[in-house]
Amino acid sequence: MEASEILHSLSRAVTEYDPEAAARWAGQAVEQNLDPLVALAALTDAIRAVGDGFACGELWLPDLIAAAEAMSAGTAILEAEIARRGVRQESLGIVVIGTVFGDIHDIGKNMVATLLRAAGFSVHDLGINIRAEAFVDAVIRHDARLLALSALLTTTAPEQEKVIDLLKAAGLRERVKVIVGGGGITRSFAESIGADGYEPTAPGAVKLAKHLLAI
Amino acid sequence: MPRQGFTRRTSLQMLPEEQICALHEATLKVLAETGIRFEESWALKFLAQQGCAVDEAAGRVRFPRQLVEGCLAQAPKEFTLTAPNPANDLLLGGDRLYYSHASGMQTIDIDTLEPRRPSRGDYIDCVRVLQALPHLDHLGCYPYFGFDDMPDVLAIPAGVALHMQYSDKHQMTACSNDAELFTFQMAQTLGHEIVGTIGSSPPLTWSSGAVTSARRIVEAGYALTTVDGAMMGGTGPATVPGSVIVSTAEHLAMVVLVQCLHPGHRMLIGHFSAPLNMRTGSPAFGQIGASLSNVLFNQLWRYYGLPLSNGSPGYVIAKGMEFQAGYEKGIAAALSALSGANSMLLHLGVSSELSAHPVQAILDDDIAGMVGRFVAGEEMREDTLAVELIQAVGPIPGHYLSRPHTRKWWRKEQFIGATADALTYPEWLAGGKKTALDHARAKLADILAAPEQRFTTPAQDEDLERILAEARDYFARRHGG
Repeated sequence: MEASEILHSLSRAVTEYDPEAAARWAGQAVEQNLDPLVALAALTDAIRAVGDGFACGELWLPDLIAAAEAMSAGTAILEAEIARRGVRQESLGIVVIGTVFGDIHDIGKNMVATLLRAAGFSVHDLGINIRAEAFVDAVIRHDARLLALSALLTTTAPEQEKVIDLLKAAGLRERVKVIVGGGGITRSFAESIGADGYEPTAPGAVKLAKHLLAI
Repeated sequence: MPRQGFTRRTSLQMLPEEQICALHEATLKVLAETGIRFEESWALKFLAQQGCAVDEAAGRVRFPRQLVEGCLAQAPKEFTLTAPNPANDLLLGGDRLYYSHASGMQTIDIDTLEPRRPSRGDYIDCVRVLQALPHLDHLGCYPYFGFDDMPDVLAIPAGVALHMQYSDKHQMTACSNDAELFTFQMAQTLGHEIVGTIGSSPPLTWSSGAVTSARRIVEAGYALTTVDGAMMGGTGPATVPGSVIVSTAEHLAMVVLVQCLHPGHRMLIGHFSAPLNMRTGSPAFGQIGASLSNVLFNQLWRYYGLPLSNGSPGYVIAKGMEFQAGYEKGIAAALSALSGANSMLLHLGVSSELSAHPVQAILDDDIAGMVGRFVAGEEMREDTLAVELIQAVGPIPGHYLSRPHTRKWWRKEQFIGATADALTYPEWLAGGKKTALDHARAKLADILAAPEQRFTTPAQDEDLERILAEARDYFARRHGG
C-alpha cells in the first residue's frame, strides 16, 4: 500500500470522526514501517483543520471532541512506536492539562486540549478530578512547560491555588507556566492565586499558551 | 415535494369536544336566524336558488343547516398550492405549519423609529429578504401598502409584479378594488398560481367588492382565502366565544357561496381578530385576547377540517424591534401553531399595521424556527430513546459528546437561531456587546450584499410592465385622472 494512501486515510479517520479507522491506519503505518512522526503529522494536520472549522463556526463541539477521540486512538499507537524507536518528537511545547480535584466537568478542558494539540503542542491530558499532587508529578514526569487547570465550579476553583502552591513547594513554579480557566474562574481570581494567565474561551487558551511560551 | 414547513406532533385544545359542538350549533343558529348581509345582488339571487332564505331589500341571507354542513363537507381538507419553484409548493392542511408575513403601510427607520414611505428599492430589498429567510414559506399580501410615487391604487398589482420578479416562493394577494383584474392577468401570463384573499366586513357582512372578488377568484380557478376581522367589543362581541361565532358565521357564509359556485373549490380560512383597545379604539394586536381568539377559532376549524391561517401573530402594538415585539410575537406564534394553524402571518410587522421592516422579519424568522421546532414535538423511537447508547456510555467519566448519535441528532433536536447572541459573556463583551437587533442588521446586510436574483425573464418583465400600464390606465379612467 502506498504511504500517501495510509497518510490520507489517517487524516480522513480524524475528519470523519472514526477512532477505529484511526487506530487501524496507525497500525498499518507502523506495519509498513512509515516514519511515525510523519504519520503523527497527518493526524495533527487533520485535527488542525477540524479546530479551524470549529473556530470559524462551521463545526461544532461534538465534531471537535469526536475528532479529538479519533486522533487519540491513532496517536496512542504512533507514540508507542516513536518511543520504541527512541525518536524525539517535535512540538511547540509540552502541556499537562486536567480538571482539578472535586470537579468532574471535562467539556471545556477537552476543548482546550484538542485545540492545543491542533496547534502543535504535545498535550498530556490527565482527565478529571485530579489531585494537586498528581498535577505536580505529571509536570515533573513530562517535563511540561505549561500546566492548564480547569474548574467549572466556584467550590472547586480553590483547588487551582492548591496546585500552584504545591508547585512552589516543589521548587517548580519558575519552570512551568500555569493557566487557569473554567466556568467558575474570573480574571481577578486567576490573578489572586498567582496564575500566569486566564482565558475564558478555548481558542483564546491556545493564543494565551503561545504568548506565555513566547511562540 | 412541497416545502417541508413543520409537522405538528403536539397540539393544544382549549375546550372539550362537546363544547366545540356547542359553538358550532350556536354559529348555525346565527346563520339560520340572524343571517349574513351580502351587498351584492347576484349573490343574493344565487344563494336563494341554493335554498337560503333571502331578504333582498335588507340584503340579508339566512342559511339552512343542511346547506352549510353540506358545503363544509365539500370543501377540500388538504390541497397543494404550486409555486414558481416546485421546491416551494405548499401542501396546506392537516398538521402542516407554514409561515408567511404581515404587512405595513410604511417602513420604519430602525434608529429613530420614525415611519416613512418606502422606496421601490426598499420594497425590493424586503422581498429579497423574505425570499432568503428559511422559515418564510410563502409570500403574503404586500409587504408595504405602496412605495415611492406609485399611486396607492396600484400598490397591489405593482407589489405582485415585484414578488414575481424577486421571489420564487408562492404568493397570496389581496383582492380589493379590482386589483385582481390585473394581478390574475400577471399570474396567468407567467403561468403562476396565486391565491386570492378577500376580507369580510364584520359584523356579519360581505361587501360587494369582496363578493365580486370571490367570484373572480373562483372563475380563475385560484384558491381563495377568506379573512375575518372582528374587533372584540367593537365589531364582534367582547367575549372570545361570541366573537369567534361572528367570524365563523362570516366564513361559513362564504364557504356556502363558493362551494355552490364551484364544488370542491380550494379555500383557506383566515382568522384575523383582536380585542379592541378600549382607550384608543385601535386593534389590541399582540395581546393575549388575540391568542385566545386564535386558539378557540383554530380548534373549531380543525373540527371542520378546512386549512386555516392566523393573521394576528404578525402584528404587534410594540413600536420598535425590541422586547415587547418579541414577547408579543413569540407567545402569539406558539399558541397559534400549537392550536392548529396551517399558515401564520408572523414576519415583518411592527407597530400594528403601520409599519413593517425586513430586520423585524429576520428576528421573526428565529421565532418561527423555534416555535416550529417545538410543535414538531418528539418521536419515541429506538434511536431517540437511546437506551443502548446510555448503557454504552454509563456513568462518569462517560459522556455523549463524541458519539455518532450526538452528531446525528443534536442539530435536529436543537434549534439554533440566527440572531440570538449565544456567546459566552466574555466573548460578548469582547465582541462589542451585540444584541439580537445588531445580529439581525448584520444579517440584513449579508442578504442584500449577495448577488441580486431575478426570477423573471426580460420578456416576462415586459409583460408585467404592460399589464401594470393597463392597470394605471384603468384606474386613471375610473378615477377620472
